[in-house]
Amino acid sequence: MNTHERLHALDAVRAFALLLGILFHAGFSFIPGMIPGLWAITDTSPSTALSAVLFVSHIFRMSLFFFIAGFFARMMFHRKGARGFWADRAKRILVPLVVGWMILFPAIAVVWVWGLTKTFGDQMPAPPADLTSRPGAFPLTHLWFLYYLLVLYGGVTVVRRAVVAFDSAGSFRRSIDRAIGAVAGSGSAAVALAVPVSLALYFRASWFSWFGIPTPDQSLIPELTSLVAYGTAIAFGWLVHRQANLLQVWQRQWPGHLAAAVAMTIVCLSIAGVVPTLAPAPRGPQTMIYAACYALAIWCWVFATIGIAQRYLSSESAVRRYVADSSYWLYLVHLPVVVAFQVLVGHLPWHWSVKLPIILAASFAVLFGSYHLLVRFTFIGAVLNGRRYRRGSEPPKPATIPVDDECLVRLEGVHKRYGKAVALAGIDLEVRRGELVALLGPNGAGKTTANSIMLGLLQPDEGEVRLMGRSPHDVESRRGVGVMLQEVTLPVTVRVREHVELAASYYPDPLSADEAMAVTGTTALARRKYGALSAGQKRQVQLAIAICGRPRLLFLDEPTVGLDVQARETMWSAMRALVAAGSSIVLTTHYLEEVEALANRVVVLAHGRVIASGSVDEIRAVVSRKRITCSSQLTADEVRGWPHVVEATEDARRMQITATDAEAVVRRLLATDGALRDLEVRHSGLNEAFTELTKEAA
Amino acid sequence: MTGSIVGQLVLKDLYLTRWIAAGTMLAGLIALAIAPLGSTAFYVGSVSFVCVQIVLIVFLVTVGVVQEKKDKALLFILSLPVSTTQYTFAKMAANFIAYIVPWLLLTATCLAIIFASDIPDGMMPAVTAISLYFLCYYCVLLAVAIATESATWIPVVIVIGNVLINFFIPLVFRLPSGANLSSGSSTWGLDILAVLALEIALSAAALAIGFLAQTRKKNFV
Repeated sequence: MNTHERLHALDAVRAFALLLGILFHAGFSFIPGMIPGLWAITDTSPSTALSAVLFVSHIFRMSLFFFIAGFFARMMFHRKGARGFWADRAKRILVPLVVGWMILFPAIAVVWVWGLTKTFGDQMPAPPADLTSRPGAFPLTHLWFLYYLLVLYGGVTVVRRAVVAFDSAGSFRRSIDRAIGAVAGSGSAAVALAVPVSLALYFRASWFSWFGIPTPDQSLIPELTSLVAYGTAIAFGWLVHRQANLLQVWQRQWPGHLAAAVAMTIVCLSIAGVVPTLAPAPRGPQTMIYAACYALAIWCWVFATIGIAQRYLSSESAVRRYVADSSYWLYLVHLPVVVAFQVLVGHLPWHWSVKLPIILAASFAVLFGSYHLLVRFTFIGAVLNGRRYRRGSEPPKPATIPVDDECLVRLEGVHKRYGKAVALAGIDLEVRRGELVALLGPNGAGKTTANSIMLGLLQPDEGEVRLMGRSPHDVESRRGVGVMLQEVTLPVTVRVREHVELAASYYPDPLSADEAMAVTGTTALARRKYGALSAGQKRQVQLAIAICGRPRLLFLDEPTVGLDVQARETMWSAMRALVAAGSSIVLTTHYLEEVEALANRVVVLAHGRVIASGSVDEIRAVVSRKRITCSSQLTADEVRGWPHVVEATEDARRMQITATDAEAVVRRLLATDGALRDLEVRHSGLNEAFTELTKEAA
Repeated sequence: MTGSIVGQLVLKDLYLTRWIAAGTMLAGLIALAIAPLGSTAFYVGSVSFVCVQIVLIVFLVTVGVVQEKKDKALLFILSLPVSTTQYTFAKMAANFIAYIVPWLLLTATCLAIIFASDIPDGMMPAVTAISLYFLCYYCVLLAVAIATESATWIPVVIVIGNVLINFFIPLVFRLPSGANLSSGSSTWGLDILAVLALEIALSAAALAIGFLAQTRKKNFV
């Protein structure tokens, strides 16, 4: 997982989890059946429908948050190291916890007293005795999640240190990765994760089951059930970051997870009811089933949410970015604001469907306003989000690989699968200025997939792609690129000149149509309709279209298929001229003599991997075989059985022998055949090297 | 450059579909010209007009969108300095223009003939609703063709569109405003206005969904 690329989908998920928390608290006063005094105010217009919605949101929102926190924590840990990690966490979590509590607790207390006074007048109920008598009693308020983050980060980093110490070779960690990958791939990760959570819930003393995982906001001594539930989430998030391609797995599985989440939630609601029961759940089979379904629902919702976000929210969006940036502040300060508006409208004789939107609209107006005025452009933003925006400036673009003028296209650790078939299995490739790189490989090796990914026509499952230092989806990056794809049919009724002129019109500083056609030898075809051309002529016209934008990088996929010798020579000349002028070419071809004639560098792919890369001579040298040619009285069948002979063939005049030890074979030939003549020994060609390399890879 | 690229793409598509649009427009005008000449001619003209509309819809989508995907020309265009959004917008705009111009001409001509001939004006609301059905059908087919990679869905939508017209025409003529066939004046009641509004809304929704679905794609191979 590259640590520089911003993960827009996960940013959105984190913001979603936090905003869902605000919704939950905003709707809390409308939950029917609540004892007055349990919340600051009990609204006069309760709603069972809203109660069901809040029940669903409460199932998974904090587990989702802790999962994301674990994922990003490992990213931060590996980016900044242990010391940097803890310095960052102290600034962004410990400081908001301490300072935030000192400001927010009095504000919450004031609003609470206001609400209770409205309900009870002078007859205010005494706080429950167990609030102050329990060990470590402390009103953490809704900031408890910061406290638990610190505790769980501590636990995870300690465990990590122990594992690294005892598993220096990394084999144990790889086994864990494989196991997690296998479980996630089979779609049963939710079941595995639900086991510890359901046990912790079921065996908890005094479990108020409607509210799911207990909110540990009243003591500094960590509460075991919450610790298990959220510890599972944060640890799993940490482990998932080790193999972030799992995010793509959940992207594919989201419909199944969503269906399972809905089904489990329905079971839970049918057992617990829409209205909360304010008594501990009795131990027994029904509670056991409820705990299992609840825990399963948690993780199905988590995976469904992540999958949906991966599928639909992976792209950058200024609005989502703003909301994601602001969500931390919003959640930190929302409680007194939201409750104040609840208290304001709580006793008004309006329907809840009017009151709740008013509470939400007014709260978000205050919260977003305070973020924009007090946080986004101030040191508070730097503390909370790690950055302080400058007023009037655009949000900073996501960090990218530094733009290297010499490197025009780069693939780093790129994976691509089609269902279960692996097309690319982590390839690294770069093309630098002035290079002609030939991409070789048998059918199905991944050449077309690699080209498509470099051109932005396919999204890799994992890894990084940069075209001209930018995303290949960026139009600006494609202004420096020319493309000649295989098997493309252009509109047949359009004339050649019109095609070239149209393509040229997309580029800022194109060649004229006449220039492009002259370079590619298609001037004579200018007035002919594309559909009337031969296959070879069409390829030449496609080359004219590919070069008309003066590309810095040209992708040519089987450019000389169907060309006669003269047309092929013209095309080769055009390629050489382009490279001499500083352009680079990625050439995909099956004609190895073309590669030998043109390429500076050869990259051989097989089974989605780069199995060899180097100059033509270097690739040939990979294979130690030599080729012996001679006229002999011996037959190929006789020679084929000799030691060190790989292959022997003969025609009417000469015999060709491919040998791993040419000297030994030549000595035996001379000794066996006194009439031997026209003896010639040379290194194997690229053809033999390619054949051997791809055979080895198979 | 953004505007000019979209403009170039739109012009290219209009250029490629110009003969289909012109040919079907001419055929539609001939069909409409026949309709007022008598009861048999009315039947022949009406049926021919419906056929021309269907041919226009199917041909435009096939030539403008489906064939381009089949020929892999889409991949070629997307490897040019054109964003998916620009391409999709241009493709939908060009195909919409290529259809809406003949459609407007044929619908206006049809209504003008009803107004000017002996055909009762009471048919106008139903004819307008039927014309809008074709627009809606085209928008749905265009959206499906743009957004799907599978060739299976195109014939499915064509079959559904062609079958539904057989139910839609009698349904419209049964509406209070549509049933007023022999009247000398047209009645634009709430029933027919609701149908027209629904058709327009469905057309807009189909185009919007098709556009969003295509522009959100990350894989085109």
